[in-house]
Amino acid sequence: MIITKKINRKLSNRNEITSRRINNKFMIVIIILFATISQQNYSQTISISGYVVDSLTGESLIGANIYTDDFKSYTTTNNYGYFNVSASINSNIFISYVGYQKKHLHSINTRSVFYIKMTPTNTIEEVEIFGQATTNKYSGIHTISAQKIKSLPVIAGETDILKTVQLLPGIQGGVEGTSGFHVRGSSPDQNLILVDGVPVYNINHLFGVFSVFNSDAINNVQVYKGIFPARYGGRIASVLDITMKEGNNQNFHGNASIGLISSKLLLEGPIQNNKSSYLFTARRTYFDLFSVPILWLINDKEFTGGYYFYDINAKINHRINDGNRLYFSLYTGKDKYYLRGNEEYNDYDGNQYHDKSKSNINWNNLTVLVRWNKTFNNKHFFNYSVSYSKYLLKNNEMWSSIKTEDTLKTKTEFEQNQLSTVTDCANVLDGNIFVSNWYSLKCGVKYTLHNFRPGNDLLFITDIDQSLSVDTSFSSNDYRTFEFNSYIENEVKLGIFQANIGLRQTNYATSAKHYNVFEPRLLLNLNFFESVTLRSGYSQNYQFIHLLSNSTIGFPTDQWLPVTSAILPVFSEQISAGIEFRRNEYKLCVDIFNKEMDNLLEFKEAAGIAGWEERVTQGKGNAYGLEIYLSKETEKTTGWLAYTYSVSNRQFQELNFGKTFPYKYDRRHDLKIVGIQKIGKKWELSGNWVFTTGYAYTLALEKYQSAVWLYWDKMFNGYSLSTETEYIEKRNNMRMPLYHRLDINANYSWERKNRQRQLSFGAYNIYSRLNPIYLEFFNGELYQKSLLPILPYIRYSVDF
Amino acid sequence: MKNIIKILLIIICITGCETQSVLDLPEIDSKLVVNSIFYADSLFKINITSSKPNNSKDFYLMQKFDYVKDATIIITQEGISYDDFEYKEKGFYISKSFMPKTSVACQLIVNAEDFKPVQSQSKIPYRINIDSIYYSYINDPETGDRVLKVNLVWNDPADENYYYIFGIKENSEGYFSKGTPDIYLRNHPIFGDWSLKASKKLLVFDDKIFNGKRFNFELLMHKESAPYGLTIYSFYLCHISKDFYLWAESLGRYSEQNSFFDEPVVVYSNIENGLGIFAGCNISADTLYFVKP
Repeated sequence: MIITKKINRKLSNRNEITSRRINNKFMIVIIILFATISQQNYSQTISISGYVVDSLTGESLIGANIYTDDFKSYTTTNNYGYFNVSASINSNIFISYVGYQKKHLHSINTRSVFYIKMTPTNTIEEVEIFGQATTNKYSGIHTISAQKIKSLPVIAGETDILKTVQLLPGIQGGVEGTSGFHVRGSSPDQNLILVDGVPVYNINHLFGVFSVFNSDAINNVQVYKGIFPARYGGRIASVLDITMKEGNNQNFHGNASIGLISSKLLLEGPIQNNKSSYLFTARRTYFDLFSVPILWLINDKEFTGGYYFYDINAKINHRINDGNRLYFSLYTGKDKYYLRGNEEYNDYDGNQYHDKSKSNINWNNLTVLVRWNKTFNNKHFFNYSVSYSKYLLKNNEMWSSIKTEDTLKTKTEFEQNQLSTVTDCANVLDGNIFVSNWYSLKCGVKYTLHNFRPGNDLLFITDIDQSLSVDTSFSSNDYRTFEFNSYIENEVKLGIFQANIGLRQTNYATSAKHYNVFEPRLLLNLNFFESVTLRSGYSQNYQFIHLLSNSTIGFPTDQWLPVTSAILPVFSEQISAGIEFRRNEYKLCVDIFNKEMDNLLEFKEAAGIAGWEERVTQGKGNAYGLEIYLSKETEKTTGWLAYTYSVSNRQFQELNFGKTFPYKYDRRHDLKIVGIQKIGKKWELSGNWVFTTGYAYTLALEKYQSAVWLYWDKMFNGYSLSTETEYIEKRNNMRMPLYHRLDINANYSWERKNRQRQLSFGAYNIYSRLNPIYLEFFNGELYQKSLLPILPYIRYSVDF
Repeated sequence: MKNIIKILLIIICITGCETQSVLDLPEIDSKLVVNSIFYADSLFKINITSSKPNNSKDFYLMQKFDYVKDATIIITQEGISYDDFEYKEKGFYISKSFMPKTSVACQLIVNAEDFKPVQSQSKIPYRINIDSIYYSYINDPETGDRVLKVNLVWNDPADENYYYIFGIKENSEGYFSKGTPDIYLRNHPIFGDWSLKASKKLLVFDDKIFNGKRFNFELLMHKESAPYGLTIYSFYLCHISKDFYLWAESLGRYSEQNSFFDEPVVVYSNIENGLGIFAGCNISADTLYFVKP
C-alpha cells in the first residue's frame, strides 16, 4: 500500500512529458484489451440484452435482477436500465425488481433485444433471496429507492435524500438538521455527489437545513462508502450517485403539493409515445412572501428582508432506436437572502438625510448535461456525455446617503461585491462491454476543465465630488486547472467468487504543477452457501479540490479551491472487510474498515476566514470502525437498525503541537433505528430514532496569567504579565451532549374524483430534545444553543 | 381532519425555534502557574500564580488571579539545589544567590499548599552572535522610495534546529526621542510582509530554511520616519530553546485572535502538572548609529 503511494508520489514529481507517455501507454493497454475481448466468440450461448422499465411510466429500473431458471446466468440493470446476459439456448429468463411483478421470458432461443415493461404491484413484493444467483452488493454500497425517501419523516415536510442517507451505517450527520454528512470519519467535502453523473458542488439550501435535491425528481440513489469502483473518482470518502427520473413516456402525469414552507410541482409525459418523454419539477419556498410585508410594516417602512430558494429540474430523453438514446438534463437552484433599508431623518443642524441600503447573498447551482447512449452488437454499451456545472456565490452590500443642506445635495455611496464561482466543463466517454456471464469490462475517459474563482471582491466608495473615490479589486486570482481521468474496471463472477478489479489514473495540471496518480480499487465477494457473503475491499483515492470552511453548518461562504503547487491533493487509503447473512426477509451485515488520509486541510490556529493559501495547513487523518446493519423488508414492514462504532483522528504538524487530536465529527457511537409500516391500503406510518455521541469541540476550561515577552518594549525591561490567557489542554478536548431525536411520519392516501391524493403529516424531534447547534460562553456560563425543537409539519399532494 | 390541521398549526405557532440551556462544566482543580524566563549571569526570577476555572465569577468582579505567596521553590543546576527565594510582590520571587549558567540544565520544582507540585526543566542556550551589521541606501523596488537597507549576518550552526527571537530597540537624541522608525520586511521568505510599527512584535522564528548556513537578514527602514539627529538602533538576537519557541509562537498566535471565526489556539506549556513557561534565552546585540540631518 505504502509502495503504491510512493510510486504515485514519484510519478507526480516527474515532468509533464513523462506523464503524457504513461498516459498514452495506459490508453493503448485499454484499447488492446477492448479489441481483444470484443473479438472473442461465444458460440455456446446466446446474448440477451435490453432495457427494463416501469410499464406505467416507462421509467428505467436501475438494479433490476435478470437471471435464468437454473441461476447459472444472472446480472443487473445499469444506471440506464440496460442489461446484457448470456444464456443457453431455450433458457427461461426471469426479471425481478422490488415492488414489481416478476417477469418471465420463455424459452429464449434467438439473440434478442428486449424492452421489458414491469408492472408495479400495490404491495411491496417480498425480496427474493436466491444466494449465488443474486449479484450481491459489495462492501459499503447501499441503494435507496425514491419510494423509501418519501416514506421517511422529514423536516418541515420536505423529503430529503441527504437526510435519508444519514440514516445508513457509517454515515453521520454534521450539525443538527444540516445536509452535510460524514462518511467513515471524513469531512463533507470529501463526498462526491453526482446528479446524472454531473458533480454538484453546493448541496445546501437554507444554510444546510434542506438539500438541493427535490425528491420528486429522483429515480434512484446509490451510496458508496469509501471503496468505490474505478469509474468514480475525485473524492476520497464516498459517492452519492443520484439518477433523476426520465419522465413518463406513456401518459401525461402531474403532481402538485403544498407544504408549510414550500410548494412543489411535477409535470411529466410523452413527447412521442414510447420514444421520447420529458420531466419538469419545480420547488419554491415562501418565507419571503410573509416576511417582506410583515417586516416592512413592523419597521415603519424603513426596513425589510426575506429569504427564498427554488429548484428546477428538467429532463428530456429520446429513444432514436434500440441502439441509440439521447438525454438532456438540467438542474438549477438558487438561494437568495436579502435585506432592504430606506430611511429619512434630520440631524440637529436641520440637514436632511435619505439613506438607502441593500444587502443580498445569492448562491446557486447549475448543471447541464447532454448524453448519448449507444449499444453495439448488444454486448457493447457506450455512453458519451458533455456536461457543464457551475456553483456561484454572490454577496452584495450597497449603501447610499443623500445629504440635503439648504438646497445643496451631496451623495455618498458605498458598494461591496463578492463573487465566488466554480465551473466545470467535462467530456466523458464510458464503455461497458458484456463479454460473458462471468466477465464484463467497464472503461472510460474523462476530460474536465475546472475554473475556480475563490472570492473576488470589488469595493467601490464615492461621493459627489469624487474626492474619495476608491475602486479596489483584490483577490482577483482565477485558478484554471485541467483534469484527465481514465479507468478500467473488470467485473468477474466465477462460482462463489465475485470481484470488481479496477484502476483509475488521473492527470491534474495546475499552472504551476502537474500531478499524475494511479488509484487501484478492489471489491471482492465470496458467496458461501445461499445466504452468506464474505466481502472485502481496498482502494486508494486522490482528491484535487478542497473546501475551505470556517464552519460546517453549510454557510455559503465556504470556498472550493484547487490544489496548487503548495497545497497538495488529499490522499486516502481504505481497507474494509465484512460479512453478510440473509435469511428470509432479514439481512445482517457486519463490516469493519480502516482509512488512512494524508494532506487533509485545516485552517491554522488563529486563522480567520480571510485569505487561504498561507493560512491553511495540511496533515494526516485516520479513521477505523465497525458497522452493523440489520434490516427487514416485507410486504408491510420495512426497517433497519444501523450501529456504527468509529474513531476518527487528525494529526497536523502545525496544530496541537503535532499531537493527535480527535476529528470534530469523531462520533464514537452512532445508532439509528428506522421503521416503515403499512396499515391497510391507505395508511403508512414511519419513524426513525437517532442516537449518537456528541461531536467534539474546543473549549478553554481554565484561565491563567501568562508572561508577555513578545512585544519589543517588554523584551528589555524584563517580561510583564498578561491579564489572562485561556488554557486549552488540546484541540477538540470536549464533547457536545449526546444527540438523539425521534421523528415520525404518517402518509394517508386516497382517491377522489379519479385523482390520487396524499396527506403527509408528522413531526421532527417529537419529544423536543434540545440538541446543540453550538455552545457559547457568556458571563461565566456555558450556554447550549438549540435550533430545532419539535417541528410538526403537514403536506398535501395531488396527482393529476 | 380539520381539527388535526388546526392542532398542528397551533403547535407550530407555540414552538419557538432557538432555545438555550445551560451546561455544567467539569470541575477543574486550580493549577500552579509558573512564569520564568531567565538569562545568564543575572539573579533568577520567577512568578507564581494560580489558574482559575474559566467560569469563575472572579473574572467579572475584576479579581483576576491569585498570587501564590507561600510557594517552596527549589532549583537545581549542576547538582546544586537553591531554595533561597524571597517573595517580592505580585507573585514574583527572586533568588538571593542563584545565577543560571549557560548550556547547563536547570530543574525546577515548585510546591504550594492546596496545589499539585509542579516541575520543569530547561537551560540557557549558548549565545549566537551577530557577526556583522551594515547598511546602504536603496530605492524600494515597489514604492520607489529612498530607504535604508540594513543587513545583519550570523552563522546558524548545522548540528540541530535552532530557534530565535529578534528585536530592535531605538534610542534617539533627536527631536522625536520617543519615535520609532518603521522598519519593515517585504516578501520575506520567513515572515512575508512585516512592519515593526504595525505589529510592535518581536520576530520569533526557527532555522528551517537556513539551517547550518550563514544567514543574511535584510531589513528596510523608511528614513523619513526616523527621528532627526543621532539615533542608536540596537539589534538583539536571542537564541532560545525549542520550549521557548513553541510557547512564544503559540502565544503570539493566541494574541492575534480577534474574531468568532478564528480557530482556537492551544498555548504551549512546559510545566508538568501546571501551566506557564520555564525557559532560558541568550541575547547577543549589535548597534547601528544613524544620523538624520
